[in-house]
Formats: sequence, structure tokens, C-alpha cells
Amino acid sequence: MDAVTLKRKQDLRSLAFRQAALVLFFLLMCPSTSIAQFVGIRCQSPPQSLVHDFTSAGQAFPESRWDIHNSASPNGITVVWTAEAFQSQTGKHVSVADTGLLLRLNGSGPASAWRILQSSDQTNVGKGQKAAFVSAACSGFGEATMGVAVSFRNLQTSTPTAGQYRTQLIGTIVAP
Amino acid sequence: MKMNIRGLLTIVSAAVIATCCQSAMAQSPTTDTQTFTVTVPSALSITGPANQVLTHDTTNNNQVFSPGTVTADHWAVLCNSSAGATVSLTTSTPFTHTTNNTYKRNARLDLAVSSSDNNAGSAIWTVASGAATDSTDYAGGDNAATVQATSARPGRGTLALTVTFVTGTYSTLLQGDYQIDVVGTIAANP
Repeated sequence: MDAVTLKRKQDLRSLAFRQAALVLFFLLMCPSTSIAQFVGIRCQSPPQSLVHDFTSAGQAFPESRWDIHNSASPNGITVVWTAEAFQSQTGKHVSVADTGLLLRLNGSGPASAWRILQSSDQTNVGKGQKAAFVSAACSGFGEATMGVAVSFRNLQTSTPTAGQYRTQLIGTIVAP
Repeated sequence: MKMNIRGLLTIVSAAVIATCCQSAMAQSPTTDTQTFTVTVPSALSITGPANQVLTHDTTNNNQVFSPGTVTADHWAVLCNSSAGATVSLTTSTPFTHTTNNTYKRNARLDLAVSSSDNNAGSAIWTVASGAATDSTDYAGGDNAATVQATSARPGRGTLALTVTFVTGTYSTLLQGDYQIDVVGTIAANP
């Protein structure tokens, strides 16, 4: 076998391996379609804090931005945000204040696919409601930017007990 | 043989890259969180109304400094300690002539809550029945009078203080000005 024939065989073998690698890559990556598919939710705003000014029972935080993506579930997704009442603990003394939530759709695609299911809610610790919920849904593939505004609502007066009150807002895709 | 190894490495690399990409997609978050913090500073304050002056009506009737009905003109108190606070309004002297302190008339203090934050429908600030009224009795050696209001939880309030100049016999009063200073003090309850 001369050198030219040997070189040609090696080139053909190399090409075969590369094609096999390419096919393997796509088989592993895209079992059903060639587009990346996922559902995801991400809060784009940092943790927030404010100092109570005693002017009113309600103290509002700036609206937080949440990005949601769905390219995996053709039947759509539902997104729920929940937060418990604000709570402060000083020694053995625990103080609470109600949490208000307000949900807004700031941008979406396709627009017709998204709708707000519950736009506002608040805890009512005095009556046993310890968590607030707001929610939105998408009827198919799509993505959206949502705004969630959180407020601190003192239970009875504009003068809450001194302390540092905290709550955590949790956004969850519940039905992918 | 050399080519076979290179080819196998190509296939293995492709598989590794694809697996990593799949893993990254599988980890796309379906939940995220954000923390909110409200700092409520400690607050404990008392603010008195403007000074008051009246001219005696020249009768034997007591002369009354009325607080009026405008709560903004009353004593304003604020506390956000978890156990509330106690407010004391005190005069340490009877009404005393400003240039001749041998002439005096007793002072009486009457305290009422004119406005208050509420807790479940009940006023946070209250005046105990035994602490609503007090008088000086300089003839009996009691030169001070004190009234008190209390709260048991955080809240604002306004207190209406009525001050009375006890005239006695008008004809025995030396002409001139008689004065007391009412001092308001607020302290967080332990």
C-alpha cells in the first residue's frame, strides 16, 4: 500500500469518527428537538431593606423584577409567589407585622399566553392567615417579566415594636 | 492506530460536552427567593403644647386652663417598646407669685387620653383612675402634683391636661403673675 492510499484511508477514518461524534452530540443534547428546552424563574433584584418612618402603618418596598421562561411545557406553567408575615425576635419577644403582595405583568411574549391569576394578597396574622400568595399562568411556551411589590403592614398602629423584621418572598413554578 | 485514538477522543469529548450541557439545563431553577428587611428604630418621645396664659376673672371661682378639643394642641406621646411606657406630668410647686413667693395658690392637674392608637378596639394609652387627678396642698406641706398615663404596648397617643388655679379668696391675692411649670416625662416600661 503506497503512502497516498494510506493517507486517504486515514482521512476517511478521521471523517467517520468526527461524524459519529457529531451525531452522538446531537443525540445526547436534543432527544426530541434541536432547541434547548427549560423552564426557569429568576429574581433579578437584590435583597431589599428599609427603615420604618412611622408615618403610616404601611411601608412599601420598590417593585422587584422576576424573569420567567418556559420553552419546555407546551401546556404552559403556573407561577406562585408566597411570603409569610414579617417577623422580628428580640430575646423571647416575637413581633409580627402583615405582609402585602402586589403582582404586575411588566412584559411577556407572547402577550396573549400570560395572565395574572391573583394580583394581590396580604397576610392577616390576627385572623390566622400567616402567608400571602399571588400567581400568574402561561398557557403555552413563553417568557415574561413580572413585578412583585412587597409591603410591610403593621397590625394595629403606625408604631410597630422596635426591631428588625424579615420575610422571604419565594417564587416557584408549580405546574411545568 | 494513532488516528483511532484521536477519533475516540473526539467522540468522548462530544459526549462529555453534551452531558455537561444537559446537566446545566436540567438545573434551570424552578424556584428563587428574595429577602426583605424592615428596621423599626426605637422610639420614645413626649412633646408638650405651647405655654398658656389667662387673666383672672376677679371672682372666687377657680381659674381653668382648658386643653381645648384640638388634639394637636395636647401632650403628644410615642413609644414602641414592647412593654409600653409610663408618662408622668408633674408640677413641683403650687402657683407662686413670680416676684413674691410668699403668695401662692394650689394647682390641680386633671389628665385624660384625648386620642390613642388602638389594639383590637381598645385604646393603647390609658389613665388609671387613681392617677387622673392630683393637687398641691402647700398648707399641708404637699407642694407637688402628678398625674400619669400608661401603655402596655407600642403606640401613639395625645393627652389632654387640664390645669386649675385654685383661687380660694380672690380678695387676698396679691396682684401680678402666678406661675407653675408642668414637666412631662416618659419612660419605657421594664
